[in-house]
Amino acid sequence: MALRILQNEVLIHHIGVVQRMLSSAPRPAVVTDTVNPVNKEHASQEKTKSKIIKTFRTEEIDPVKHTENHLARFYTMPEELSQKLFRHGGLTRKFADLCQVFTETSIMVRQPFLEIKSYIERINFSKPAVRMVLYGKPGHGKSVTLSHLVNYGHNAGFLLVHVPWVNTFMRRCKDASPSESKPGMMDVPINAAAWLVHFRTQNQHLLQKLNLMTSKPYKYGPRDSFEAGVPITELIDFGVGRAKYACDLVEDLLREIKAYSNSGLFRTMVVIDGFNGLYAPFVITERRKVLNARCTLAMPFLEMSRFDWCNGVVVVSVDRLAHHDMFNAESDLPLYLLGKEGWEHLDPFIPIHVDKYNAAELNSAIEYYIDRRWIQHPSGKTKEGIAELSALCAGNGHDLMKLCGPL
Amino acid sequence: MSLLSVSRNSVKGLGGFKPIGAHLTLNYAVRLSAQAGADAPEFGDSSDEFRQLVIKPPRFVESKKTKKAGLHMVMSKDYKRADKIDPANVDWKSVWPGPRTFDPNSIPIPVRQGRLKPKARSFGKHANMELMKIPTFFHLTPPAIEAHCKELQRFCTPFPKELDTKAKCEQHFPLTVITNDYLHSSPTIRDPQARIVTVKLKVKDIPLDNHARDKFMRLVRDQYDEKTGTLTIVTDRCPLRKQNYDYAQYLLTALFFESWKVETWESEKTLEDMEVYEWDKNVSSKALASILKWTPDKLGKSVFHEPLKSEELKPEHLAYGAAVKEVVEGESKNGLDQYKTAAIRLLI
Repeated sequence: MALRILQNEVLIHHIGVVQRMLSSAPRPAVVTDTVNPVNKEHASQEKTKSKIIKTFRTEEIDPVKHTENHLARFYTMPEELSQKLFRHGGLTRKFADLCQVFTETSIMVRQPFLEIKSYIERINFSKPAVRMVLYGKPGHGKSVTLSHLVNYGHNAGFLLVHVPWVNTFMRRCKDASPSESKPGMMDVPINAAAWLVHFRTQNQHLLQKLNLMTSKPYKYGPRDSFEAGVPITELIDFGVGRAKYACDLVEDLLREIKAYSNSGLFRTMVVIDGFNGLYAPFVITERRKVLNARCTLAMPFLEMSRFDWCNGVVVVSVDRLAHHDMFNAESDLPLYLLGKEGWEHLDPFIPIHVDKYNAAELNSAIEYYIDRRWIQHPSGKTKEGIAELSALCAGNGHDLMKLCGPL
Repeated sequence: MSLLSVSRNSVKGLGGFKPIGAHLTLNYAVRLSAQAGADAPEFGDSSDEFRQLVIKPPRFVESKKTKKAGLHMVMSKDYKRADKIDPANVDWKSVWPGPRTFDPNSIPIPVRQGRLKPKARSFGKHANMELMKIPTFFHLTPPAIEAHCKELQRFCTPFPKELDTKAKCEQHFPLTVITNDYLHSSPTIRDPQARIVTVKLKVKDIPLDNHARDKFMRLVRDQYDEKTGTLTIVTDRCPLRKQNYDYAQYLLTALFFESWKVETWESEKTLEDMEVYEWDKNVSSKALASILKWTPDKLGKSVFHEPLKSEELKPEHLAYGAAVKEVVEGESKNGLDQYKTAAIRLLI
């Protein structure tokens, strides 16, 4: 009974938040100190403490210009950009829900992102593609860092090859059928077509501007063939329409992109979340599990993460949750998660550890939740309440989000 | 003798009684006869005195208390001899020349040992069993040992002056053979333990390459001590020392030549069978070589080249190799941090 009342309250609270947000004029994307009395109050409270930042937001919305000065502060993406980049995935499901409730996509600038950014700025792009691997415990922010990075890649002019979460097609795919071109492997046509849509949406500006052409003829079926010199957008549209050939088409498309990138026409950023999932020896659909068969869609992404091309950078994350035996996974470290095959595929790479929130980041996140009224309970805003929340979540961003849900 | 016969007679004489009564009577009869035997002359003597029959004899009263044994009974007559010894002037090694049981009369010092109650004083040296149980070393006083050595010196040769340090000893005499001799004052001079031969050797003194060393270690197993780097072979299976010594020598020779042998099937050992990760033989070194030699015209060709030759390897490559080895042999956060530093030096 009590539980039901509690759930009811939570529901009413959430509806209330949404209604309030919808009814009032949309909040400005960037809220500064002067317009936010709550925040100001907090800032004045914490002036006495040293080393605690006064604001939790930054006005700098371009990740290219993010520096150490913006550490532990939230920046808000423009709505249309967020729609363009993450409409077909790219934010984790819970985080996307939260962004919808908050009516803004705000991401905290954190050290791992700045680290990757500094490496990308220093890379010699005439050398083979540099690979970077994010690792860390679940909930510490690997996926959100990658989302931030996708925004950076978009703003810095990279062509994005972004896989939001590998296990959407390895473990939770819509349908799987035996591949015709690669015997013994499984096609995931619907997910491949969905990925093509995601790719087309993310890179529409570049695809229009560059006007890429196919370099050789492709033949998919007796009546479906392409001459050399057909616009690549046409190829993608065909793949979206004829999902049957989508898996093969993704492979050809990425090979074209690799070749163009290698010739120096543009730079490519490959971002794959849950990379270790690609090594799963089975494919699980919504209805069945196909053992001892690898997925054809995994192959082109493995191909993209090799070092045999230039003008590219590959950033992947390894995650315990993407491991093929995730309930028995014992470690969050890359060698364990990738296995021998995966390690030898990526080696040498730059491992980047995504750690838990430090004190400043944790404070900033809680303040952000208070500001967004995700924490409404009066005692949640007190000093003791904040201390309790910090202790309970132990620096884990995902846990903090869950903890604040009923508040 | 007389006592037995009396009892028999009385049993016979009282044969008509019931069994319980008979038992009782027997007791009386025995007592009666005992008294009679003690006081009166022996039964069967032709004594004229009339013997009394005592129906209820008076209670037996302990006539004499047992006398406590006097000190003179447990101690030798010269128990004060020790007091006469002057410890400063006595030639101790002649007083106590060999190992023997504790003797309070020869030890001129007050020794105490053992305790009956917690706070009671411990017992003195006289008639003290505890002191006699434990071995004593009164025959091994420093002057006694010195005198022994002086006697033995006649049979020794001087130690070579050139071997003044331990390192030199080890260098010139790498092999140590240890045997034990036993002397007993028993009918036989043989001791079975004298046959055991122990041979010790530092493995670094044996010329071995990596392969041979690996094989050697597998053959000797726990007879090698990693801390000191010493191989110890103990042979005791033959009845004579000479035979055991020869066997130890044979073992050493066999071990050496067996380790240097390369069997045909050893070439079938794959990377998975390796006990240790060797970076220069693994994919990692090949990947590094291919990255360093890659040019943009080799698109899609990440065919792994042969690893870099040792003269091409730069310090950063070696550091990277060491970091990979550390991660592969036991992944940890620290190892990954090292790997990261090495990878950044290579790639950026």
